[in-house]
Amino acid sequence: MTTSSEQDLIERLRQQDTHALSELYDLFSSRVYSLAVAILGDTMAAQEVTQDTFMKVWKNPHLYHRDEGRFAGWLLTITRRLAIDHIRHENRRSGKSFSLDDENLPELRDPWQDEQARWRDLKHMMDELPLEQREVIVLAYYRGMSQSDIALYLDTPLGTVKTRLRLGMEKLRAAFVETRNI
Amino acid sequence: MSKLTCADVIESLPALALGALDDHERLDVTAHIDACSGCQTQYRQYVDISRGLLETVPQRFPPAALKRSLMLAIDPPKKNRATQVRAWFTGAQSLPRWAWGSAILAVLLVFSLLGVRYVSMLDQQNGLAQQLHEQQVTISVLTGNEKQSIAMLGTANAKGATATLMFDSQSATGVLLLHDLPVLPDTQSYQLWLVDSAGKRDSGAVFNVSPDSNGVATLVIYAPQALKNYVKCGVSIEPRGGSPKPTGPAALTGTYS
Repeated sequence: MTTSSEQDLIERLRQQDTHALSELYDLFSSRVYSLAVAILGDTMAAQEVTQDTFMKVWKNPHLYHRDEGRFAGWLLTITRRLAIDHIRHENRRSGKSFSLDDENLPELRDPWQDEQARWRDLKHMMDELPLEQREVIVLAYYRGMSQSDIALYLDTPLGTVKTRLRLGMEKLRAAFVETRNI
Repeated sequence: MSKLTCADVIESLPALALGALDDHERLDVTAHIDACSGCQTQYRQYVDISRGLLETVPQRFPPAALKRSLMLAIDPPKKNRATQVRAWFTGAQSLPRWAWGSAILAVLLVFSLLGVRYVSMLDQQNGLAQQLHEQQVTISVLTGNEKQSIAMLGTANAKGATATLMFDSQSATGVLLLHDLPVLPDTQSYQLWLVDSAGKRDSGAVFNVSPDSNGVATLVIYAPQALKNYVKCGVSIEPRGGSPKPTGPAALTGTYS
């Protein structure tokens, strides 16, 4: 079977073509699963989230709009949200509760080929951040914790958490914007 | 527009883009952004970064069985087959009760046997998929252009043993090549530790050397951060399954040059 373009695949998904889902899975499952493992740290839970992600796309392909950006960005956003929902579900058992609402965020707009290099740069920039700044960004984004949750978790004043997160993200933004302009 | 100023909102944009603002703040900040194009532009840049962060995780491959499970879940049984089954069932209602009981027992037995066989095949398949993935990672690391290698030497607890930790300079995934590491009793495991400049120890892997491996083993390592960020590494002998921090004697030690 030949690999179709993303847009063609999405059109076929809308017509409930199971082969289209199979192709889509082959194209994106590694990225979806990698993100789920990174967030959950548990391969069994990550498999569940990966399956739920593709089931969600299968049932709701009409929710993706091309003018909102790259399909992969949309898919990974669903993965992240499902993974964090999973963490929160587990956390609720121990009496904690978190919130998240970013389904309607705008998508990335650059062509995929250029993005591969940019993600590598971004990863490098993250590695270069001071540990305390990287730590709060990871807890916020990959664990779905709010700034207040992080302050409690790290036993650190809320103001300090806010400052670390802001400084870290400002550095990433400055470097990211710079690489885009090169 | 909400009562917040642009200066207030700009401070909160990074947290908003990461989904880390508390609910009460988020409502005020998003209300401001909806009505302020300047803040909206900056917000989109932070959102780009947060989306990029989704792409920066180490690459993993799901087991092959997951795709089959997904495809089975979306492909429901055909309607006409259900109709045929219903027709057969109606005809079979005239059978005596003892025949029904025997048939149900036989079906349960067959399903139990098939279930056990299916689970065993799935386990085998998952194992093979994991082996294949680890081989792909190993080849990728060994043939990378920016690879680094750290030599490790056996201590008195593993005399003559050597190991090499190899990794791509940007990656948190690496390969540990082991030689002549003694086989441990069943109650113990080896555990790889990665030490950063602040002395913090991250666990890199928990493993055992099999008696039939002739002391040679290859292991794929998934570290919490890029492997180049560490300054030392070592392997200790821990209780079976590993420990949250090193508790046992060192078997191998290595220092980044």
